[in-house]
Amino acid sequence: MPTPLFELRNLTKIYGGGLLGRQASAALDNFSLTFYEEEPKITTIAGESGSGKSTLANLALDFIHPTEGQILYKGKDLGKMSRTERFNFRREVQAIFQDPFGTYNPFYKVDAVFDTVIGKFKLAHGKQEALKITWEALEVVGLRPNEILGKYPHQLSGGQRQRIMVARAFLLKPRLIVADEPVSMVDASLQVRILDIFRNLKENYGISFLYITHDLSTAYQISDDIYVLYSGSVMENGNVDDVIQDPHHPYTQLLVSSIPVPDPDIRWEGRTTSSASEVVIKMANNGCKFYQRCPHAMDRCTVSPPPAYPVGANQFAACYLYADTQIAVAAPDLPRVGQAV
Amino acid sequence: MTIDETPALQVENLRVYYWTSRGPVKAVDDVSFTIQRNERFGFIGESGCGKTTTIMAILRLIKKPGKIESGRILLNGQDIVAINKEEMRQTRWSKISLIPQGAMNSLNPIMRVRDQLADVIVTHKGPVPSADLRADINALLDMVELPARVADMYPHELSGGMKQRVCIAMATALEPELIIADEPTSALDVVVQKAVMQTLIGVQERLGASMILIGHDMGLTAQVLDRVGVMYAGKLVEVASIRELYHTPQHPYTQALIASLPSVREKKRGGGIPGLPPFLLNPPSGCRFHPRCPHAFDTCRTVTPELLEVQRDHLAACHLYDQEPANWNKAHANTSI
Repeated sequence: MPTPLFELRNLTKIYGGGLLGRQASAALDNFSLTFYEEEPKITTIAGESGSGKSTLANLALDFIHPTEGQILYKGKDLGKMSRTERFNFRREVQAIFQDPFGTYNPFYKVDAVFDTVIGKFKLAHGKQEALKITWEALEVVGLRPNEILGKYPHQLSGGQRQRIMVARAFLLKPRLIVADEPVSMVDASLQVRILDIFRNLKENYGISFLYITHDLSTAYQISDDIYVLYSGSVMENGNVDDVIQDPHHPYTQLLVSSIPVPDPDIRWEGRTTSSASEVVIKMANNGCKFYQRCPHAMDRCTVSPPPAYPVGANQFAACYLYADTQIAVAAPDLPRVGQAV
Repeated sequence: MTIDETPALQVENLRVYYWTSRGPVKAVDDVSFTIQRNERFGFIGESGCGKTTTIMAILRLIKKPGKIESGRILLNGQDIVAINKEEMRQTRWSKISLIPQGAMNSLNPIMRVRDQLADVIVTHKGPVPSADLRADINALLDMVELPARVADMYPHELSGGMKQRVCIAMATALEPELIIADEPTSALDVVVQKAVMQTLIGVQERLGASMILIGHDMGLTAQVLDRVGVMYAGKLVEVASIRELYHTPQHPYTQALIASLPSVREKKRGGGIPGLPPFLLNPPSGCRFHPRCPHAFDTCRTVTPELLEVQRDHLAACHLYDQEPANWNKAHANTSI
């Protein structure tokens, strides 16, 4: 029985409401996901802007607190941790953010990034050892330390800066890295190199990733499983190959068909109507959030939100289209892809 | 020669330098290309390779310390480097229009959409009877697939995709011959991106205009363009039809670029291009790509390769194609770097 490492249990985050009577809106609605100690994996949270994916990242990093639900790290609730446990959590769960230009103090040499964490977490005894582990971390991310150390951020490219951030995270020997759009501001020729580093860290160092992105192509390249979010709710989740090659939820289908494939022989099929691309007025709706844009919308979709129906061995779609489908699914003794029910 | 045979745009030996205290940064260095009527042409390349500088030069919007050093830019046969500022001002919007990067943020937040569209029309055409103006605006909105009521809305009432459509309407209000779009959809979600891009193409085809698109998304490029130019460190290194460029790239840089693309069609490992693009104050001698090129040999370090036809309508600037065609195989033997 695998031991849970990091558990997100029925997380809901509601913004707004309160005295001024602003309309409360759920940025994230009943989201569950588990990482296991023994099985490092890369899990993608995919969604468009406003889908709640960054809210999820902030929750997982304990920057904000859930309105409902629980986050457990090694069995301990984040809100009820002792000082040592929290310190440990801060070391073992690391973050990499989108903007490699905004994460540096322009007045400090990049060495400061490493010296700060080494000092804070007492990772080394003496300068010699500190330099040695910094050197190692930079080599793991494919950088030549003598070209990096002693430089100021503005002297380095976006790709180099982002890899330094990965090296910084690696230095702390984390168990989980939350990466929020880590390659969206990096040139295509460097994206693959950074994604390869993630894969290497997973396979050789047992580090799991919560990979948050809007880009299904990179998600497909590196992740093991995927959750597709829309307006705070999980529309479809499962093994990344199944979900992307054979999407079941109408929203996932729309997303996958909109990806511009870098092959002139596989051109976009069909026209996306403006109602499918965006609906401006969000109507109050107790049912499926995708109702207004959905080509298959039915009456029952507005009544209550659809639960996640199994649509494959390791794939779930929250859509009434699959309510009556009988799929031979081996009863999963362990919800490897945490069901969002 | 009849008018119709004149290419929509001909750029000859364009050089744009940014003058710094340490000397000129050669952002665009001896770039030549031609765009036919109705054609959708585009530039790809890493950030800082000169794509945006090239299109800003075509619009003559290069700001100091940048300067068009030399070269000709023939719009419909007329050299727009030579004309005066006022003539150029007239040319912008009416003949060449720009949809800039993050265009949706360029809308005036305190003006209704109607007034912003009217502004473009009135500035260039002079006073127009209000009934005509109203009809024009409705037709424009209809063309970009927006409902007529959008005219009376403010930008904050619109979603990102709708704002982008308004920008397309503004850019095409005067039926330009050339539409330049600089990453027109980079801030949009994929579903909206597809819809907006389809609208833009629809408008371009309806006007019979030519288009230059630049973007870092090679997937989008593959979806919409007819022909592409690949830029590297201020130089145009390859020009080919979209199909040839993606299927049989000739320049080692293009080969590496194409090989490194993430796709939902196949999983791959490795790839990417080792090293970094050069600093253009002091670019490498010879071929600017030679320090990163897996095929580099002595000539590459000393002689700048010219952009020559290596196959029919397929240009590449690479010494591998100098001598005999046998070298093509050499280049293709190892496409992933």
